Amino acid sequence: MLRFRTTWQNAPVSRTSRGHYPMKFFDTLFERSARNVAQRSSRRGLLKGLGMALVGGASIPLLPVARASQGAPDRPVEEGDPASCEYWRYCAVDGFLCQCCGGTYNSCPPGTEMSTITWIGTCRNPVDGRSYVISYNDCCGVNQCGTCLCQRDERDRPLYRSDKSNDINWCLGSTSYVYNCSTAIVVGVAFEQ
Amino acid sequence: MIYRCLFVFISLLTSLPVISGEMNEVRAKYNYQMFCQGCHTPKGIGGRGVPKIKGFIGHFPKSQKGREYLIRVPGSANSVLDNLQLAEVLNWMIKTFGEDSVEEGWRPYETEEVANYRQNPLMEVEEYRKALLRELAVQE
Repeated sequence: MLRFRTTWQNAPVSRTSRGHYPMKFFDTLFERSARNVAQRSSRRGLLKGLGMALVGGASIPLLPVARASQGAPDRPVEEGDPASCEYWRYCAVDGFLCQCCGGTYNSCPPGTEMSTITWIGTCRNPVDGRSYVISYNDCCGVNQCGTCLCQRDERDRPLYRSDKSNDINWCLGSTSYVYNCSTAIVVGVAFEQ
Repeated sequence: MIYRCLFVFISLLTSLPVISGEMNEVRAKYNYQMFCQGCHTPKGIGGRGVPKIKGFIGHFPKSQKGREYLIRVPGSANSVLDNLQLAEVLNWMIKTFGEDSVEEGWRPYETEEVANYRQNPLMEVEEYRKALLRELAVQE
């Protein structure tokens, strides 16, 4: 302690014109904290901690949770015109595109209600080559929209496979059974078997 | 030392689903989306004529009859999923949507028992369900 003080008291650089030692407070503070650290820890301890953090951090991606969270984003990078029947999400549509009816590809036109029950399929996104799960929620309540009829029906199944048939009026789950138009909402990434 | 224990504990905890059985969460979620969600809705709320799963499904496995019921309903028994993936998606649904309805220490479905139960699909569901809920003494 004594040796330290002597050193900085003799140093002319730290003395100001008024004869104060404005850095004295900081000096004491850092000296104390440094000594505290020195007394309480060891260099090997630091190495141990650092080592553990490095190994631990590196092994996190090996855990199943971290691996499961990887993969394609929920919102796919995409291109194309949502008002065109050729748009990738419409691969199994059978109906009028809400994009042309005052709504969008994932929202209903004003005055209509989105059906809660839907039929669900997958479409391949040409931009990233991945398949996404698409929910074809119908918009219901107002008379048929009548524009942009799109009938691609890819992997549409007969009525006896009702959950995979797009001939069903999916407005059955809504307040009104009247069909207006169809949306195509990405709800997830397809699992590649 | 405490940190080391904590680290080991957390590692064990996160790898538990893999150790404990056949749960492939990504596949289970996909199967739910493809084969159940259309009617049961993304959050399991259900709707007109579609029973609610959210905060409720966990009541069924409390009795053997209820345990069989979840596999004998048309959506399960007649599904295109094989026994392993059907067991998996049911376990995933109970885990994901069960909330407080799930009894502590419930036993996940196994492939073999699912294969067995789905041999007897229910032809009439609504009355059967009402009677079952009375037996289980739970209300929707």
